[in-house]
Amino acid sequence: MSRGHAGQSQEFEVYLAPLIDCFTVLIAFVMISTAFASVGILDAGVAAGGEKLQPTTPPPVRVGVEMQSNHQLMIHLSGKETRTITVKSGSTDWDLAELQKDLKVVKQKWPSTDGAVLRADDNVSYNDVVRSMDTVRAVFPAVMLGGI
Amino acid sequence: MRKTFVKSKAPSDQMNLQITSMADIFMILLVFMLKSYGSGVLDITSAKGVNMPRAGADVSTVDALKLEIATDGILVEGKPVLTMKNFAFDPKEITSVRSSKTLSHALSEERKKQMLIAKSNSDVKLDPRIIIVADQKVPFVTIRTVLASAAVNGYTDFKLAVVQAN
Repeated sequence: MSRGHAGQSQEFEVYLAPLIDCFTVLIAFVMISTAFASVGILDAGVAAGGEKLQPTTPPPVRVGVEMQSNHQLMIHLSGKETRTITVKSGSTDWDLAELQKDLKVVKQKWPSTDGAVLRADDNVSYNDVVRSMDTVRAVFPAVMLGGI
Repeated sequence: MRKTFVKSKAPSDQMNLQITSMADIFMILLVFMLKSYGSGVLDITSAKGVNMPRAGADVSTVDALKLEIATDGILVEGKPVLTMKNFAFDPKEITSVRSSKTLSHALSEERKKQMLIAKSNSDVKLDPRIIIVADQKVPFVTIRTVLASAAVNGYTDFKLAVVQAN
């Protein structure tokens, strides 16, 4: 019985050039189809409506943020502490930094409160609502849209 | 001074390109790009002219009913259901609970479909989630009407689609 082809060379070469071609085409395709602006999701449960009432333990203080059409922000507290905080604004635009500062004070006083309800006047733009939601979320993670 | 008379080897005309390392680089690039392409990308495409607001949101894959608010109308799952002028509802559309009649009807049809599936398959449950894709300029009154229309039909878990700020 013969033991293989004695004269055949053991060296062989892999043809990488077509492989490189495939990779170049694939990388170009992936780069073109990549979305550079990635879409995210903001959770916004509604503070009303729904088919069934969910049993929940009410927080000691309920926090409501109101966006008025004149760019004035108000914080309404109800429950164990009932008062309205008018967010001082140094400009004609929404002062979200000041809002966050005031919300942090509320959070320090009532740490067990995790949610807030955001309400806005009819002509406030969606962009401003989302910006405010983003600000409120930094202090109170569960932000709901109210006034529905 | 000693001189060497050994002639240096003449350079070969044939140049060998080292493509093994290039193949390695391409392979790593491809794996990296495919990984970032396939994970955590939401399948949301907005209609022409819709500029979503920018916010620091989480990217999570959500598969839910998609409702889009464009300048001239509202689309549910890509189908136009209602026409509007400058993001505003026709006042005749609005009901006593501040929802829209036509939109409510369209959403109730979608809900009926879900209920039918849930009835025939016990593993499928009614999904309260709804993804809202809206333009930055939409006034809150329109958003409120849309949310009210969805809420009366059992869609209470709202997901607002935004462009990630970071």
